[in-house]
Amino acid sequence: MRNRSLVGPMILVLVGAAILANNLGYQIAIWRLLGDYWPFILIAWGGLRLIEVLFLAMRGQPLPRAGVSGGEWVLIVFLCVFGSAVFHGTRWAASSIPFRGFNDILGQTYDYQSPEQKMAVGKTPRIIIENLRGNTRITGGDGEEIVAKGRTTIRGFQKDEADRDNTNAKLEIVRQGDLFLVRTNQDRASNVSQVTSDIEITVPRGATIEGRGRRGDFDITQVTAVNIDSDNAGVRVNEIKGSVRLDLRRSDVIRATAVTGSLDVNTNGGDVELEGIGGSVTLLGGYNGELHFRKIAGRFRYQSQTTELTFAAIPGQVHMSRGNLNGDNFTGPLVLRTASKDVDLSDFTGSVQMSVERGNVELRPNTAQVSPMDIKTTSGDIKLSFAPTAKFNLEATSDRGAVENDYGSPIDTSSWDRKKGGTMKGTVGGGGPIVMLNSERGTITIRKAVEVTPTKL
Amino acid sequence: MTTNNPTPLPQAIFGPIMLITLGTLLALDHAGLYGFSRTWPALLIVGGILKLFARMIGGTFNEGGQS
Repeated sequence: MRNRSLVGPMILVLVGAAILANNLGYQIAIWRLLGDYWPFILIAWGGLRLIEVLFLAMRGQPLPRAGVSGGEWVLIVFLCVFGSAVFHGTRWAASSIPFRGFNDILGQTYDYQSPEQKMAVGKTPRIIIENLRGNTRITGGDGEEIVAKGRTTIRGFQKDEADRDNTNAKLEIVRQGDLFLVRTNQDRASNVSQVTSDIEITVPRGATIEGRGRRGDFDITQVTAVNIDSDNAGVRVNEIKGSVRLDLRRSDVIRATAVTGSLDVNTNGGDVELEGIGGSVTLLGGYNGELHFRKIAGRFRYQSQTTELTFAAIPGQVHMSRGNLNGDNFTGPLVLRTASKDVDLSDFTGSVQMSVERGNVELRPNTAQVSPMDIKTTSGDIKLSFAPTAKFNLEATSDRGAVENDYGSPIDTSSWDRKKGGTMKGTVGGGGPIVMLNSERGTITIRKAVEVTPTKL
Repeated sequence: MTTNNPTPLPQAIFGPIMLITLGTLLALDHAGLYGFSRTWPALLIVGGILKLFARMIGGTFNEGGQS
């Protein structure tokens, strides 16, 4: 009569069933459930042992030395550590990413329409939008008032509870001194994580918008300035007369078009698409998606943990992804420092300062007017093609790689040696700015551009 | 109950009851009612009561066994 082996198999069966259900597409939040309810495993465990001991005692059989053995206590300690980790992990996750919680499985969705709110605010109001969860769409118009309406979605178990939450979390416009506050009051509902409000706001064109949220997208058109602070938001801004500033802990997509002023972004983001920015552009943080930059009139600066990139302006386009940097038609000084990227740039003016650890560099300035260049790679190749009429002084060294001169006679090429690498030197077109190329292991190639007409990517 | 039992009942149920107490405190903690950082002395109290209980009953058992 031993039920010692009962607890282990039961845990196995439960965990297996939960994972199987999840794999089959039932969105059971295993980790959340496990994190919240694992202490009941301890209670059940103790209960089973207690029943076992009492059962034995009732039948007059010898009792075990200890109701819970030493080995089991070790397992229990592990379970406590693991359970606490899961508990705190899911709490953290719930605060930072969307979490399909308990209500998603068992609860129901209740939808409500928020009545339209209006307030006269003048031509150039400062408006703060507070919508913790849900999407916000803001459009500038000719009027001098704020018009806000929305839809609230509440997940819950009971209709009357949801009704109460909806009454508490109502959309309102509040005046605070010279500020106007549009808020959805989700923090007043009984359970914040269950209330989502999608709101649509019309504001005067001269409005300055400050958006605050935890999760939800912002879509803003035709206002004067935008400032958004959110834990997780996709942001689209279009036709902004002033500057845009985005402070987002996470962001799957940022799209900005026709911004007259500057654009500052700080996020852990995915895709970024910028087009037609009149002022400077600053991107800080980390970005793991596709980044497209077009028609940026001001200074461009990008800085992540692995890459630092600046341009004076991008009249054409630059595309960057995790492994690549492509661009044509931009203005230097270009500064690039990166751990790993294949670089392919053409049709540019201005100086170039580049340091690439892994990845090949291919540059086609395509202008007769060569600017100073200083390019270093560790293991990647360097390929440069110059216009036939270009004037410059070349100094190229590959410590262990080869050098190839397809340009012609003005450049002296040393005979290549596996140990010493190779060097190229020369004064082209009577001399000009210094072009310094240096690679540790890569091959350096100099070419004469065949076509003078720009080659599009 | 038998008196020739080598292990007294209170000693055998000590572990299970402590485990149930621990589980209850942690469940209260995770439900957001009372933090474990505040409720852990309950473990001492339950453990102490069980030991007292064991001494009371176990004592009679021992005396019975010795006599």
